[in-house]
Amino acid sequence: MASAGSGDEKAAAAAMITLISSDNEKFEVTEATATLSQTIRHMIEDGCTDGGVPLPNVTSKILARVIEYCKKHATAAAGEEGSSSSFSDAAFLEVDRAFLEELEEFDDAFLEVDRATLFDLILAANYLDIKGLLNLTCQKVADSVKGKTPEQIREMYNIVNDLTPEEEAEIRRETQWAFE
Amino acid sequence: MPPARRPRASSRAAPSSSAAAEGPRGGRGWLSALRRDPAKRPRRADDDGTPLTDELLLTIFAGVPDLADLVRCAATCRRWRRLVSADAAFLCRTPRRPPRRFIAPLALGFFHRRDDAEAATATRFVATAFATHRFPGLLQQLQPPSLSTLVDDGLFDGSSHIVASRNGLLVVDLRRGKHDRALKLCVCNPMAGVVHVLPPLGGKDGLGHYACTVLTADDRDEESVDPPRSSSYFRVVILYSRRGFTAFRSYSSDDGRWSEEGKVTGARLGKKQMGLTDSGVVGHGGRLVYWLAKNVVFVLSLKTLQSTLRSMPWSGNGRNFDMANTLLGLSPEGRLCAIQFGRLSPRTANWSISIRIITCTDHSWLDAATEELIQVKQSLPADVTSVRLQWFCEKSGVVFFSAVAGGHDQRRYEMYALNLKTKVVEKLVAHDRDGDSWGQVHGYEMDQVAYLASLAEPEGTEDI
Repeated sequence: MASAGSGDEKAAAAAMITLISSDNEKFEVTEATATLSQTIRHMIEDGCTDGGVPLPNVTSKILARVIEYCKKHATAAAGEEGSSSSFSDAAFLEVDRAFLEELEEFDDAFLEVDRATLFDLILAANYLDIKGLLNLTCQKVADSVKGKTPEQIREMYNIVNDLTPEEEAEIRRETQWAFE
Repeated sequence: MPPARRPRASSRAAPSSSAAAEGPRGGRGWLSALRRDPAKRPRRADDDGTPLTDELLLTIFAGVPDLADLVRCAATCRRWRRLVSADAAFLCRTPRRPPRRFIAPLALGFFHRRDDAEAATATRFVATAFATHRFPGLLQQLQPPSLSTLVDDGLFDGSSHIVASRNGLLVVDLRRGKHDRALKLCVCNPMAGVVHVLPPLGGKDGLGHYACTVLTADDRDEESVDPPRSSSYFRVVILYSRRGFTAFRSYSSDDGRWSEEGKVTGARLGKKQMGLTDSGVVGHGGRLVYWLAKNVVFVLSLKTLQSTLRSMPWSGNGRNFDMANTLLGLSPEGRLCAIQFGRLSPRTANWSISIRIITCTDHSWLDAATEELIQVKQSLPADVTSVRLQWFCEKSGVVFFSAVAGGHDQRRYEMYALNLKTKVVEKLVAHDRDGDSWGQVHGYEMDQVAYLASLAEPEGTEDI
């Protein structure tokens, strides 16, 4: 939809969608922002967004964060595509890099959340099918286990250790190399 | 690609008394024969307390940067252990940095085949104590494990012999006798129980001697440009002599066919040298292959097919190079290294037996700082008369060597495993048959997928 051009599409870009969180809070967002979610994109295509889109799996707190992410990335996507025709190559590359850097900084700051919020964001990204957000949040968890012992991982993510002491000793023996 | 041959699966629920009638077991692959397929076993309750679905946890695990991190995740709780072991093949599709340390449990043992004048014997397998402990079924089968028990349909016979063993795969030459001119190779993963028979090569002329090796998904690193589509990917590469040049061909599981014959430029590998080389060592994320050929290393770039020669350090015994006393491998840091026995002088009173590990730095073997000596005499019987290097398991840091002990009338042939990290020597097996005893020896290390899969709960612990 961001392939700006015809008057119809400009009108569509300005169209607003109402998202309704599980605790009944309403969020007005542009279609460009909302369609970063494949789930919502399909609903729009099927024409069932009149009267708002209820999202019973997402709280207002998490939905606000998700919308923050989508707004930023929708703008970036639109900016990138818009710039390609109006700048010389060198200028375009410059703008492109600035965009990417800014986006990276945004993502890093965006991920500065506690464990429960991070898990909620993963669940929301999965439910709403927002690929970029899902990859970002999952990679954050994946990177966070780097160099950590199982004890530290359990502590970080409140993991219940249901291995018996014998099982733990056995798997520790088989994986000893990874602890050295 | 020709369909993978799946050996006949014996009924999983068969009572052990009827197993004899079914013939050799283990045709389903060692892993599934010994530990039930984790994806199909009954689920034991394993709530880890997180709200995430299995699918989401797997997405996270796929992004975990190092194998060691993934392995520590598997040791966190039952659920994570189940997911990492059951979906090992999926999780190993992520290109990861090389582990940069030895992974001792990868070494399972060695295959050996006596090539007597009489009937050649089948290739047998001997497991290490650690592997036997982890996979108790490996030695409790009706027959000792061997190449022919991997597949039930007579694919392997006495003349089948292993020509390369790397990263969980064996390349087996299926030619029967000298008159079988076309080269018939198969690639076999004993842990998974899968055998791929490659299309025959050569035709009328035959290929004569060849040097070969096999690359797998475990070889690529984070710099690999073209990551394979599957964690069971493999690529067999072979070198052989044509009039006036060294020729190259490869077979990749992605393409399912042999490449056209390529011409290697630069250094040449003589016909006789090809016959001497063992499976090539793979380095630089699968971009270079090294073959030890007489007293040099033949280095081939798989990208450009350009080759160079690299010198080898003298073996410890005198000033000659002794091919039989040199094993080539890659150090965990990705550097080429040679393993040799140090000075061998068993006739003197206070002789020592040490294994020397020399690591190559920037094309030079001369830097003394890269040499390490490990004394092994204290672990051997007092009446040892000779020792011989057999195989270097480079991923696990295990060196197999054989020893002959005892007097003329009661000679004993023994096989040992030295762990380069712990410096512990383990006696594997001994026999008192006459003649040189072990024949061709090929160490066997499992691949990363099999290793992660083997971390599943042992059988008999699940609550149904």
